[in-house]
Amino acid sequence: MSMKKIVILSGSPKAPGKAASDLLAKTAAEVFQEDGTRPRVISVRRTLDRNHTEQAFAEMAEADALVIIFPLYIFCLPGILMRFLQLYKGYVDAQPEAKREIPVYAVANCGFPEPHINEEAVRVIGQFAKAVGGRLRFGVMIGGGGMYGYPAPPVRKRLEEFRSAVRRMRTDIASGDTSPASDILIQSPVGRRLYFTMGNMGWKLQARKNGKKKVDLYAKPYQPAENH
Amino acid sequence: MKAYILSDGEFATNALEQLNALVRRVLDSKGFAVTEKRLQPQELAYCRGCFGCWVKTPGECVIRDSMADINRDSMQSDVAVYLVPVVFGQYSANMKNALDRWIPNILPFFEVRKNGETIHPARYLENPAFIMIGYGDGLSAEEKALFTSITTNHRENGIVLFYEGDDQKTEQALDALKLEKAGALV
Repeated sequence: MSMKKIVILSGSPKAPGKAASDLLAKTAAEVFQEDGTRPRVISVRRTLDRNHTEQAFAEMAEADALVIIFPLYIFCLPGILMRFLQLYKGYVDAQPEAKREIPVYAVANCGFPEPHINEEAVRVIGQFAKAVGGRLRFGVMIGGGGMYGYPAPPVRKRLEEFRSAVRRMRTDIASGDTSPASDILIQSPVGRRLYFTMGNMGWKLQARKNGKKKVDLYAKPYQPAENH
Repeated sequence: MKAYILSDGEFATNALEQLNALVRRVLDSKGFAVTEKRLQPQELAYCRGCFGCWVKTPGECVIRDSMADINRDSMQSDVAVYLVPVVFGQYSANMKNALDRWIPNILPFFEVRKNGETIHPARYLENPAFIMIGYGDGLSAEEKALFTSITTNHRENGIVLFYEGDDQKTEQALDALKLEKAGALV
């Protein structure tokens, strides 16, 4: 297998160490390393915060494959990732040699239990890929993303499924296949009822840490004065 | 009656100026008191996913920039019209920052909506009707379908129109909508 240049984008705006996308990017990198490939992981947040886009874009333009990992925000890509991809589109438009037909993979991670809610976001990555000359191969849609910060056994099991999904990317990149490929759904680590219970409890616990009671969470600061 | 228009100064094309003027005309003719806000290039910080707006300062974003005014003014309106540059089939970065940072207006808790999908419920009993008018050069059918799905598939309060240079068509479409508060729908 020839050595491919793989760029993995981690598209979460969260602080280092707190983002599920960072964990998934690290995991994906490990899987690519299994066959000696040394993927480059680029943090979108760090790159934008430090104004290092030129260097990141040069690496993306030379890549043989692009893996874009991100959390779902309001049913599509977060603003920070849109900013980065819009800037990259401008970079590619300015230098046509950067427009190369490479495979692109989307990994969308949703805070709701249903993985299929990520479907539109995967299609947005498809539109981006088309705009910069690439082609979306398939998406990996992850449900129950709120749990990925906890190394409990059900999460580890889903991470194994994610590793398998990345292995499929690796095979797909090596083969250069262009025939249609199906998306991969990774279900929530726990059932919806348990996910809701844990999630709702989590909000109350976090509020308590901030000196807030449950009732405070329902504050209505923008309620017009006459309706108070 | 109040209406709010949000637009993106990063994509201040002729099309946007025409669209903005026609939306304003329709709202004025219906007697709305209209507030307009045009986002400057990179005006808004991006949402950092901290959930402070849910657990630290419930209902308000912890980042102190013009987003607080945008949320207050839009939530106190009967109708909020977003003029949205469609990029890769979704909202432009600037508009997406405004939408990501709109989540103070919903509650953190998980609920099941009528179609069986998970949703975060509304914080307020009254929400403005959200109208998203997408525009862009030569939008493909695919991009338009995607933009519509994103806005309407998983939410209950979102109307999508597209502006493609035909003022009359957009004006009629806007005119035909019920321009009033949407209740506790998000």
